[in-house]
Amino acid sequence: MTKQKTKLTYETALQELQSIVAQLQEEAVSMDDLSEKVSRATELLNFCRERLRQTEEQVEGLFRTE
Amino acid sequence: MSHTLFEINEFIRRVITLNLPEPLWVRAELADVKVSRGHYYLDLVQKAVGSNEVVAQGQAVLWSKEHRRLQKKIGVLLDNLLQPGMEVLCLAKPEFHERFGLKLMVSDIDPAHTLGKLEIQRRETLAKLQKLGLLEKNGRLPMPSVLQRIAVLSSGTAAGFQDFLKHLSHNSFGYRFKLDFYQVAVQGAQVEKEVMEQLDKVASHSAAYDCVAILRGGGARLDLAAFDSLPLAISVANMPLPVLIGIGHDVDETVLDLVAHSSLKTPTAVADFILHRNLEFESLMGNLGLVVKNLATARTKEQHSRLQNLTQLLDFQLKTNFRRQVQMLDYIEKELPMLTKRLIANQQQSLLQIEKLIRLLGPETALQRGFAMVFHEGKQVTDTAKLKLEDEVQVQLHKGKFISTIKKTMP
Repeated sequence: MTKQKTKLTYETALQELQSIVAQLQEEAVSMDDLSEKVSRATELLNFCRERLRQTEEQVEGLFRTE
Repeated sequence: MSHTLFEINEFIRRVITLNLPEPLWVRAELADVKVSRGHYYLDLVQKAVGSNEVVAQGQAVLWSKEHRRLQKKIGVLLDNLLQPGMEVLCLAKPEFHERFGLKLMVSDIDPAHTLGKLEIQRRETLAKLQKLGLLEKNGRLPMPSVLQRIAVLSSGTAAGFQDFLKHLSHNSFGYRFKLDFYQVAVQGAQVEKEVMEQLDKVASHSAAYDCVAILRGGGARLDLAAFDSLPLAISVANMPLPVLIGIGHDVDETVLDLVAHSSLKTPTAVADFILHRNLEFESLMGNLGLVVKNLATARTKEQHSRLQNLTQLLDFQLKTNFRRQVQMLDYIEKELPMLTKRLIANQQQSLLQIEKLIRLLGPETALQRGFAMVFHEGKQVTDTAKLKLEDEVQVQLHKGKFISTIKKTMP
């Protein structure tokens, strides 16, 4: 997981998040993995939100300087 | 019998005096004119028609007293008539002197004759130039749009030349000129020779100039005779540069005026012509500049509004994209616990099912239905072969148990 964290991008995070949701929808998650998967999903969700917020701020800044 | 020279000369004088008592109108060309103490000593010649061969020659004198009288009658024109090369009609009385020989004493000159002769010559010259195809040759040269480097042929002392300089250098447009001065005589016998020589010099540096100007102040008609000369006209016609003429005269046009590219009345008019031509070019450039500026401004404006539109579009698109992302994340966040709960609930459900099944398949159910369980020494018995006669076994029913003894076994 740490190896993944260094390479994490918004796109990969979102993909992983969507795949977890799909697994949950299909009930393809075992009970043993459930809490780990959900905690990973929350982590990815926070990452994506933070990334989105940062990008929005940067873009706003770019327009302001023009 | 012999005579002394004096006797012979005295005899000739008497014969001449007796036979030619009155002055006569004489036509002749002036070969040379010398002035000494106000007296004019004239060398007269007559040439054969159509050639330069001298067929008659003689001397004439215009005494200073007669000269003053004629000057009152004819005006400044007189001095122009008394130039080498002029054909004159003069009233003269032949006088023979024993020591000084025959001389014509001039008492009157008819300027109309000379002028008429000049006019005939002028027409002949024009006809020749026309035949040689030179009359419009210089005029066909393209005049540069900007006249800045000018070869000026004039006399440094001529008033017209000074006017020209002043007019060009004090122009209100701020134009600057590179004027190269070529000294020439603008009156007298040297005009033709000097102007031709200087034109040759200018022609050999023609790349350094935009045009040539030949300038002279005002003067009498006769004084312009040199500007009717055929060789000079040919030189001007063959110039590789456009030639501007301003030789200051009012009515008649000289041959040079007709041969040159552009002919103006005075040197000042030549300066005006040059300034005007440059002004035309400048205003053309100004207009073009304005057109370029307008086009450029229009293009910039167009691009500016395009960029503005793009910026708005980009901004809108970005906001839409962010909103979509946020919605997706919101959805996932909401879905996540629901899915998890459902998953856990489902698991609980399956566990319950399993529990039910287990209970269904367990011994309790069998006992309820009336089956019994047999134990021997604490172990469940499922085969009679394991039992001997008189063994004590415990029998478990749904409710309660009892001890029984084996009386008989069967396989």
